[in-house]
Amino acid sequence: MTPDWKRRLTFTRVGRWYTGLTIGIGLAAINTGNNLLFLVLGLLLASIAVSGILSEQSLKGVRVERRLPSGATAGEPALIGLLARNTKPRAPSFSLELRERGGDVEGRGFLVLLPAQQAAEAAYRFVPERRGVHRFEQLEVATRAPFGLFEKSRPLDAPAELIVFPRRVAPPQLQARSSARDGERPEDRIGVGYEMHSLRDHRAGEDARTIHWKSSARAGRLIGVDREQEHRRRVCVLLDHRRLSGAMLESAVEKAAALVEREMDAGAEVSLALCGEGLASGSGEAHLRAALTMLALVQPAPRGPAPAPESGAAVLEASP
Amino acid sequence: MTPEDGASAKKITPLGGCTPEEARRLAESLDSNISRALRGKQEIVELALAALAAGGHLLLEDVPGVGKTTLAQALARSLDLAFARVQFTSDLLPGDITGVSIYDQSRASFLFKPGPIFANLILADEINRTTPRTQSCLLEAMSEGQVSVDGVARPLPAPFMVLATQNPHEHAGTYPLPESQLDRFLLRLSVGYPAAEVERELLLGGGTHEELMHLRPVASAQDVRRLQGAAAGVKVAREIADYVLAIAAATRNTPLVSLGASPRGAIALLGVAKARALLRGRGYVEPDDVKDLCVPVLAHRITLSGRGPGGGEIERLSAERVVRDLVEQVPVPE
Amino acid sequence: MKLFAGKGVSLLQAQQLAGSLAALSAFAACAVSEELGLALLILFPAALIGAHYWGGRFYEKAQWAWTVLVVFAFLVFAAQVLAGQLDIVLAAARFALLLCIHRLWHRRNQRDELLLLLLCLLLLCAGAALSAQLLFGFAFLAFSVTATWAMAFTHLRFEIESGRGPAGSAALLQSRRIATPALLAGLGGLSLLGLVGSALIFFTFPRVTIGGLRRPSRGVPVAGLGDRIDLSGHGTIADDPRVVLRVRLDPPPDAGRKSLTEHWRARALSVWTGLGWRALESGLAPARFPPPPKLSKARRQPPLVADIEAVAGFSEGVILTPEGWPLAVSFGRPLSARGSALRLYRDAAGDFFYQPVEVGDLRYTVVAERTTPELDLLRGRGEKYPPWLAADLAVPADLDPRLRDLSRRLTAEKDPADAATAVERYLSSTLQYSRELAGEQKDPIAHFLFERRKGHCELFSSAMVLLLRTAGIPARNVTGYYGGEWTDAGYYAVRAGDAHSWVEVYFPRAGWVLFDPTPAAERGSRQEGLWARAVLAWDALQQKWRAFIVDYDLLAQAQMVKQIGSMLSEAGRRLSGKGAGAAQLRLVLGGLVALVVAALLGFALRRVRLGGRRGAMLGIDERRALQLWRRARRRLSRAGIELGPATTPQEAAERARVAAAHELVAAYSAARWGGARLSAEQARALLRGLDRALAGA
Repeated sequence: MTPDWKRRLTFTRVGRWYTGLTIGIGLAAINTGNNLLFLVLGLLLASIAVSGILSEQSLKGVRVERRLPSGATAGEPALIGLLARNTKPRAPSFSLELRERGGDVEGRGFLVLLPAQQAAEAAYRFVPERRGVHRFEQLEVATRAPFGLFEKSRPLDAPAELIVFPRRVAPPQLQARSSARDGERPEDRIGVGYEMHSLRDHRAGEDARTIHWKSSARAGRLIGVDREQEHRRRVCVLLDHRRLSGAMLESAVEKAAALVEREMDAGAEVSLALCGEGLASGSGEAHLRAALTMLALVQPAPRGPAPAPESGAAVLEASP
Repeated sequence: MTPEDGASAKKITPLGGCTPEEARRLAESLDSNISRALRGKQEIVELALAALAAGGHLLLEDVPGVGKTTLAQALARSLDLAFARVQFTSDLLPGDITGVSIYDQSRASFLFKPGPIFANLILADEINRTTPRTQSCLLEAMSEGQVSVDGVARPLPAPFMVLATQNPHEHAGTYPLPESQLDRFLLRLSVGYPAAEVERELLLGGGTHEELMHLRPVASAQDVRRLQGAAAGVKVAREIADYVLAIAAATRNTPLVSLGASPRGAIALLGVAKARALLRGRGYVEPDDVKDLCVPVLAHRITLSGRGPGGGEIERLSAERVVRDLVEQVPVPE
Repeated sequence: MKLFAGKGVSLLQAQQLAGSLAALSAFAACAVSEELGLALLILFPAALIGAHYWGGRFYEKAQWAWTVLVVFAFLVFAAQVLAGQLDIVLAAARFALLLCIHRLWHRRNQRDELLLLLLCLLLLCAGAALSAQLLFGFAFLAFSVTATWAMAFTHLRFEIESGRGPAGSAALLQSRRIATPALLAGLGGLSLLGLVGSALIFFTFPRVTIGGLRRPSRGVPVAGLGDRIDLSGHGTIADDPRVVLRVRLDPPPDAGRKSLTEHWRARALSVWTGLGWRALESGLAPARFPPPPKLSKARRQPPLVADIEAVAGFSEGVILTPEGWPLAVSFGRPLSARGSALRLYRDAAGDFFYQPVEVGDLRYTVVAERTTPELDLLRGRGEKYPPWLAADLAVPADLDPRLRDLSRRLTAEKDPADAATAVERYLSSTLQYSRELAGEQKDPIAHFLFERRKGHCELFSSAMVLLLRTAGIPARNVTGYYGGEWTDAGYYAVRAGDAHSWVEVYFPRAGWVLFDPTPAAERGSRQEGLWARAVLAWDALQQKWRAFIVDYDLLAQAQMVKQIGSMLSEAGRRLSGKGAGAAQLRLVLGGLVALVVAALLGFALRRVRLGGRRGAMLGIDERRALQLWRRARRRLSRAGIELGPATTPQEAAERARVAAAHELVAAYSAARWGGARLSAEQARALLRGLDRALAGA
């Protein structure tokens, strides 16, 4: 836990000049005994003190939170919000720089003014280079107010993790048994669907939409159509990475992710089979995220057994 | 009136809104009008009005025959809003909701036939009986305020409110809404059986259908828009906002819940609380507004540990209990 | 001014304006030394204004011309310094001014702005070295405020530019909502804080000087006390309010005296020219101080010590002495500014001079025997005058016969002492004082005595001298100043308009004795009015500036430390002592300490009760509502109603099942969350209602 009072103080370039000049004028004043130079020296030194007090006032009572996006993908920019709240009852904070410190990610945001009792968000863009866990450790709130002579910063603990999904690549031309309609696979029985199953006479009281107009016109009487019952297609994406590492592993993982996404977009229920672990089939946003998270965390050289595909599902094996 | 009072009154009545007092009178007349058709359900009516004022949609989860349809129709009639009812069945297609472009031979051009979704108030009956594809068509319209047909985006009217019902007892042949889509509903309510005396009255005094047919509008779409404008301007103290956040955090920090309330849930909770405060004639939110509304706003937004999303009635009841228990552990600001 | 006009200025404008103002202040700090030269005095403001309007257009254009100009200026200044024509500090100041002008025309990026501020600071330092004027103090004040603005805005501007990129920052920089008067005032307050800190550092920074190389200050000489008076003049004697002497007296004159009645003697003029007076030419000899004659029967008083500061230009070479017999003259600074020893001389007439003469303030102390000569002791000293008094007995041959008659009438058969008194009384009581000059007269004295019968002090004194000389009594005309006005800076100020002229009469074995025939009320100047007062106030301010700032040194520092130390020890002594007031003082001090402690405790308690910092931020009604609810809660709990931390007020009211509880909760909520009013009486009434209802239930 970083204590509240901890501060770091560094000179800015201007500050180094200013300090040098102050020392120079101080020497001149001592050398000549010119009281007016002492007066100037006093002003310069007092400005340093005032700047110290004010920067402290700016930093005090500022809390910063990080707002991570719900998902980030390697190679694509992610917007990370830094929410600063000034909890001081009255005093505003000026020119705050909020930045990451110590973690895997670097980024900074700037706020000109943070009024008392208010919050404001600064955001920075960050493009993750790799998939997997990105750790955040501290947030640093820094200020160079009011004169830009010194930079005072205050570290705040804000540990967090962001799981970055594998880079988006074009899915390999692997196809499970393809179907006419996206996502839905006709079964060989009558039901609700889009594929035609068979034609028969239209019965009174049936929905007019079941009338097959072409056939009716040809037959001279109303012919109805039965459609095939559709069922969701089930796909299992399999990744056997026991012998993969480095770029090969990355490529395989990316392909697997692309397959999962493609199949889910196509409406299939997708399961995932990895070495020693797996994900039961499912669909929907949450499921996609779960699958991508699992892929994001794939480590080289696993100990588990060979991946076991879900029974009854079409298997798509991702390879580098 | 002191200048300060004037300032605060100005703050809570933004341009085009109405004062809290007007809102209260409006709510009362609507309430009494609707209760002629739907007796003994004042709370439900108030919540439905709150959802309307907050610009949200309503999910009614109940057994058939308790008056879900009556509620929707009475609301539509009292507000003089265009009303449409869609019975969701397994063979309902997206085009049945949004409308279709058909070829008009006489004009040699395509003509758009708007679907029922272009009404102000839509009763989506038994929404879980249709396919996910049709469901998502409705839900997308709900969240985006427009529908795209044949590549043309068509805005929906304002106010626009969907009252969806689903029957928790039927499992066979239903497609339960996924949790991400349940989030689109501001409130989930269950109307519940009428109280014994009301039920007896219903039996003896004949149906309410007659009453429903004779309901006269007491407010206009314009009034609803003003109500919505005013609800957005209701004052929320910092402590109240913190309270809402604390409740949302509580749903995330308990092992009973695997997926807690999203940020959208916290926003929804505050939004409904503001609307209800306005309907009660107040220009500010008090902790009770928040606490009373936690269950209808949050229960359908959480996933209990070890269960699938949005399941049957048992699921619903236990989610409601969990929310209620959690809220009882969050200190109320004073 | 544009700054406070309705629409305000954008951040960018404010930043540029602040930079220009800082440059102007720095320039003013240099300009008050009056050494910059007319060309730069005109050039700089013109360049400043020009840069403000057209500077942007010339950015990075004609770079070579600027370079040539600056290099040329540098070479010229360097040559002048090497040739000994120009002081190096002055040369540096001028060069810095040129660089500053260059930078004013080239302001775009952060480097430019910072360089400009740096140059301003250098200019200020040069100004400090060039002059010790009070005006520098004002320029310094202006600089501290404007430079604070400039620094803060520059920082803000470039922080925004680097933090948001050019596109994102443009809107913010053009925003008129940032550089509000409130922010300017806040920054002004900041500079005030800086000045306070500056003063603190200034007074406490140890004054250990290594080199002690003071730059001699130069001024323009003003007409001094001449050795000549011309009585023929036209017009009116104008009051010159400028201060010529600053005098501190020990022992001080009677308490509360706002003005002195002191003759500050400069020169004795013995030779009558027919139209005026001039000094007798005699050589200077190192000053001697003969013992004073006894002219009073009263016991000898301690001598008067007059600490006199003669303002540069007014008393060139002449030492002014107070009334009485001078016993010693010593210089405040034994060395002149140029380092040569100051030496004191006296001429035959007894006037004091110092050498070398240089323009600049001179401070010296005169010790004088204070005796008012008694008439008794002056009488009977005979009329045997030494021969060297011939010049003081000389009467012009063409003296007006009426003057002779008058002299005879006033002095006949009288002892010289009585004769002198009689003439003095005659003149001061029968003739009128006038500041209007009579114009050119053939015989100004006869015109004054017998025709116009009014005139100014020189006519009075001249007439007296001539009347006495006609009667064979040696007398001479003396010039100097009269009076002195108290200033709140702790000294008496004598103004140029206080110039005066009076008479000295010689008595054997007693020496020269002062007589003043001018009516007492008309001596010196009676300067009133706004302008005269303002001049005095300005002089006082200037003296304080000099005393506390310019001449502040290790000695003063030590004195201050000693003073603070003695103040503390005095307080301690009085506290622990057995003096009359000690017990009371202890009581008062103890009470004060107790009050402060109680206030602190109360504050802390309140914070704790209102839930830490949150309570401190509530409005009065919100706080009252909170208190009301907390009290109601306690009452409800006592009545056996179960309340937890998650129980809302409405729930509590429902559980209480009394209308009063609902009423209270409604009032509480409206005040706590809705910003409604809740008076203390209302709150009390609600609580009473709740009490009654709970008792009834």
